[in-house]
Amino acid sequence: MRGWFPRISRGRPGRVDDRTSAVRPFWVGHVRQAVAAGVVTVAVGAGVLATMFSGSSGSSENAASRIVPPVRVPAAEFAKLRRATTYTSIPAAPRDPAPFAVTGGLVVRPLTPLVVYAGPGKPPVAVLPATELGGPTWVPVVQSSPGWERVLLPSRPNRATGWIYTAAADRSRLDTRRSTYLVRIKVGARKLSVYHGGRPLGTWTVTVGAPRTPTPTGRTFLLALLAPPHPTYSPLILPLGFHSDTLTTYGGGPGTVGVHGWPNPSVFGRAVSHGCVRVPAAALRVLSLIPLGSLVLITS
Amino acid sequence: MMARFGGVVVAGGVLALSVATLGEATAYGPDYQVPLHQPTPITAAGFGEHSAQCGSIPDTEDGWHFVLPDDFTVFVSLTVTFSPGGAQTITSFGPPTDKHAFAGSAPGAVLESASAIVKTETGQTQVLWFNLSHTCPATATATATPTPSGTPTTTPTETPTPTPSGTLTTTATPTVTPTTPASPSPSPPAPAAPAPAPTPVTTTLPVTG
Repeated sequence: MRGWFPRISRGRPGRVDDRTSAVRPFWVGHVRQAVAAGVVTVAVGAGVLATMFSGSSGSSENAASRIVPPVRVPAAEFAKLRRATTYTSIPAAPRDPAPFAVTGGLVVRPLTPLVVYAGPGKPPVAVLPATELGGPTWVPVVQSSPGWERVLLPSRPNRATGWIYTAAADRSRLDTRRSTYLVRIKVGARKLSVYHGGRPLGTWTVTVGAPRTPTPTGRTFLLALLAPPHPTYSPLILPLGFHSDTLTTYGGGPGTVGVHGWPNPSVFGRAVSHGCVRVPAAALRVLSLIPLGSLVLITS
Repeated sequence: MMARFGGVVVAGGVLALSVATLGEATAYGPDYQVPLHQPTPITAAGFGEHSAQCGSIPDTEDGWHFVLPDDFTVFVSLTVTFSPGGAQTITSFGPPTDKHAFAGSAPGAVLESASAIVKTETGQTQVLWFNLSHTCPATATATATPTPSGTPTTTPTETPTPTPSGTLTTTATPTVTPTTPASPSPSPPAPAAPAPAPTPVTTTLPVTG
């Protein structure tokens, strides 16, 4: 119980460590181990799966028998597959079947590059890397099927999705979590709201894309949290999984749509950006706490 | 979460007022909330930086030393949540200054979340986060008496917890890697652990400003 009360510390000052730099994230070791274990998805036969789940209930056996094994991807083909990043386009990726629906909050992070398929049992379309923009890859799950999860991809075109094989054989290579956050952006109203567990944390008036460079709509996700080494307009930038529909490139980048701050508050409430969403500092602070992969629902 | 911090903000405001009237004339801006820079969950033993002493935290507990990243900001309150142990809010800081905060947990406990209310000197730039500087894993055994019970059981939870035993020892080092059930299902087969807060990456990407 003592931990519940204010504590007056009397430690030795000489031992105080004043460092302020970040330490190595805990997941780095996991990623390295996973990479060392191999990167190519191994096709698992139905017989093997049946054996693996033989100790489960009858329903599980039925579920196991329904699992569609992935198409085998030889190493050479794996190497040629396009990486699903904000810099790439995956034209063969199936589109989001419900681009304005809220998900259950499941987010996944590949611990090693994973093959992305067009569907269960369908051909591969890309590889989802373990890192995006220097940080861990987290993508939201938008649909589930036995042994498979459909995720949003950070690549062009907007609303690109892909299926990853998540049956037992691959579970060790995937970190599965749940985000209880949701970001809603109403372009017309120029409002951004953050919800946690269904409860609103705040709503702010924001800047959205100008009529010629509109902010794309649909559901996307927080791709990364970046701290520019020499910030000019914002100390933090949160790229989304979306890209501008009208600009193929911007500032040397791939036209990624992001959420970030802005030094001049007079822009808030106006449609003057190139597609990004400019937010007040208070909103940026809240957004910086939200797990990557969390859903961002942008409506007109 | 906001409700929880609402009380903290009120308490922090009272504390700030007291300090302002008793201390020297350091003017601070309004209180604000910042997250922990490092991603959770974290165990003291698993954290990369260790030290022998964390404030007055006894060596029978895991000690946790948090610091603020500049010289113009101080803690108003710090709320940390451990598993096991639950949440604790700390309002006394240092030494040597109020930019240092210490917390204690059961050996092997997992730091699930941490958030702080802070204040920055007027005219200075607000900080965006605070850091876990280092941990002090427990080195001694507490003479804790376990609660009498029948057969000890271990209930599966989202976050592994130390196995109950008669004494608390430092050998209880839980694995923080989340488990994912092997049973296939059309929907998530079990509640997944909370996703971690992000850590900013120092890089840049030209976005459609």
